[in-house]
Amino acid sequence: MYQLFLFLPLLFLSLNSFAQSKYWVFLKDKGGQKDYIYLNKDAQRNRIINGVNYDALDLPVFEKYKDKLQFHCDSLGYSSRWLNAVAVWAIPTQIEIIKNLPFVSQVQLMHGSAQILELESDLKYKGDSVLSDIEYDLALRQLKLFGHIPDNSLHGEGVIIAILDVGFNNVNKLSAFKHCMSRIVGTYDFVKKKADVYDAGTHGTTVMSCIAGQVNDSLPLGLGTKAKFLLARTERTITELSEEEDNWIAAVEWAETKGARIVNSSLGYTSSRYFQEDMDGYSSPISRAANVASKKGMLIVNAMGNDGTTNWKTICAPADATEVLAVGGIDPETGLHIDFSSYGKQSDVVKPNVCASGVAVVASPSGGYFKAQGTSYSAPLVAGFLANLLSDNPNMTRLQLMEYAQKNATLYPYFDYAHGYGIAKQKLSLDAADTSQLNLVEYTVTILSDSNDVDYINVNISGIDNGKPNYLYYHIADLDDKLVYYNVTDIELPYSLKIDLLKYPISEGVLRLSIGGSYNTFNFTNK
Amino acid sequence: MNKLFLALVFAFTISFFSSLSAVAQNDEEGKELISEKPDSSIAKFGANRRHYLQYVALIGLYVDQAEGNIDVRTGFDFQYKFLYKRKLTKVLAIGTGLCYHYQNFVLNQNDNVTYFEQYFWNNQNVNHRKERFYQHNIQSEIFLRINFDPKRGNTLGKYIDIAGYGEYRLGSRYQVYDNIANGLREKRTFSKLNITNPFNYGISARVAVFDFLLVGVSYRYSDLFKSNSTVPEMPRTLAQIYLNINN
Repeated sequence: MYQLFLFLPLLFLSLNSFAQSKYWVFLKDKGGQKDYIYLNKDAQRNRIINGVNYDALDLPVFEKYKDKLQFHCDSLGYSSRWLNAVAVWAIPTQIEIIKNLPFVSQVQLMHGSAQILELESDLKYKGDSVLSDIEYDLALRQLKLFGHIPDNSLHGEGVIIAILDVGFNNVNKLSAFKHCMSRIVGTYDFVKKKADVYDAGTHGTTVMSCIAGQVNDSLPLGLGTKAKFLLARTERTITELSEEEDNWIAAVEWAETKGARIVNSSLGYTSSRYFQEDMDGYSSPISRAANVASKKGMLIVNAMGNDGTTNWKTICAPADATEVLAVGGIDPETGLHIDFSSYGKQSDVVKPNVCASGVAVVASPSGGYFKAQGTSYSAPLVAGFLANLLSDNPNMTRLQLMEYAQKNATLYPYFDYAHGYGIAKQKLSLDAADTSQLNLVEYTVTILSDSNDVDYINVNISGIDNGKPNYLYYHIADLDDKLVYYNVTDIELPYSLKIDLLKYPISEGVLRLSIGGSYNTFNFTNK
Repeated sequence: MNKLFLALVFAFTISFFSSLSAVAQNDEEGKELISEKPDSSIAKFGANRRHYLQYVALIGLYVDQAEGNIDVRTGFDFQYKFLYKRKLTKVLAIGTGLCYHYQNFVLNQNDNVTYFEQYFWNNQNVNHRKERFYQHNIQSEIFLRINFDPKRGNTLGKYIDIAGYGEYRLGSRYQVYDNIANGLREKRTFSKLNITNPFNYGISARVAVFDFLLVGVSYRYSDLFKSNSTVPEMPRTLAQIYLNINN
């Protein structure tokens, strides 16, 4: 019988796993309150710039409702003024009572955990104080991809960026952040409810370095080195179910009151709670909250996810939210989608919105630097880029910023579900044009067709081959601009392409092609 | 035995790697780098979809005693299962499984207990350095799955399976290890035992503790040995730890 004792702990665990659960309890109203939450000066200024007025979302959750919920559940978690919801721990019998309370509109079970969107690093957390030649080149390249940044750029000066992550281990001790420590204007650990965020997980440290890190006080790893920072820990290092989503929402609401203009989130929720079809921008509370945050004037920059090679494959929440700038990863060598970066269609809008390098040199929490990969790093690289843009143009609204990122991306107006509109890029000014960096090939794209009513389309592409890769991007979209097919092919010039429209289940649509900045479009009716 | 072990490792490896999906990108014809037809239709296959195939490996320990309160020290009981699940509702699913089952009983040496003595040792109570009996079986089962967290995304979640199984004996062996003269050791294996029942059946239950870990218990109703055999019946209750391979 001694064997039985080996199983007792496991049996105990299995029974324990069916205990209380966490729920979002959505409320019908805010109890007639009229006192809005306090916003600091930066937050008020942000609202003025973005033309955001106070409304019912700025009223706190009614305390008396919280008291009544407290009476009927085991304990309360965070509450969200934007969702008008309270997170509660309760057992099923308690939740049945709560559902019937007159001020409760809906109850939603919380389950699952966030993914930290970082892949196994080459030298995980064992950084070298001196960069190798390869790392040095990569450190330059991860920023060069954004194009020519003018010498007089302000690198995020005056812009407040909130970073939501699992912790910012040793940020206060590392030389990579020495220059910006005085500009960390707020920290909060939403897991342990304390101010110190420097003793928790390490992922936030590497993520922050892609905005503000510097190698030896000289080589920047991100473009927001002079920004101000709000650091919020919202996740546990060792994953715990049902906890992180309300922390994330609470942290974004906190960031808004502190004046954050950009929020970087290298976290995402996928299969542990949702199905792929839930990635529609509004099914998950976190995505709904992200949309509200955006409407309050903050630009949420979220990593697309690292599920490109897993069964999940597609976007994570809250990157799926319409108003969130979802950032995918590209291979910095080729500029093409990197395999692990999540892709494919779920959201009703183009996702990812833009891309950045999916491989980056980051600051190690134990000192030094190392090469890491994951869309975790693509997002903060873009956040830093946008902070730089915002510091140069402080009156840009959140919408203008997002539009800028998309419209100046390398493929725009072309898009697909692997690259979005391409790599976010600084608008090229004539005086800044570094022509040696450009692939100056003139392409002629000829679409051969007698009429628009066709079975297939012939495309001829010609130009002078300069020895560099010629990537032809093309897609077929329906009348709602949803892609039914997209393709990237490395072609040799001249090149002929025959597209058989009968392969695609649409009667009318549009073919779009993009090659080396040349963009063509052809509307067709399928015979 | 070695061949079986290799076959087992092979099956394990194949199923493990097949659980990893391939990348959508390909470079067929040397130039096509990405080619995708975005599909937003609802998938029918997945951990919390209508159909799902789950691979589990499990080890077990017998927690009861052999017939006549004989304390049989359990050896290595191993199973590798393919479980097909058909979702009925958010809470209920039914399924079927196919399994390789290796069961091993290490027989404690005791002057007062006889195991196979009647058949191989002229009915004399012989103590060996080690004595064991093992079987390879192919097993099938049907199960009912009850889930406890209906809002669980595309994961298996927390559940209890209640199953009935039947198994067919592929082979059984009786093996003894003895010390002989001059420090030499001898191993003898007896196969094609005609005293074991070819078919066995029982019930089992398992609980998902985490997505990757389950604990379970099974009880064998049938006798391993034929009714006219004098070998004491081996333990019936098996406590199990499952590892979800393709979680």
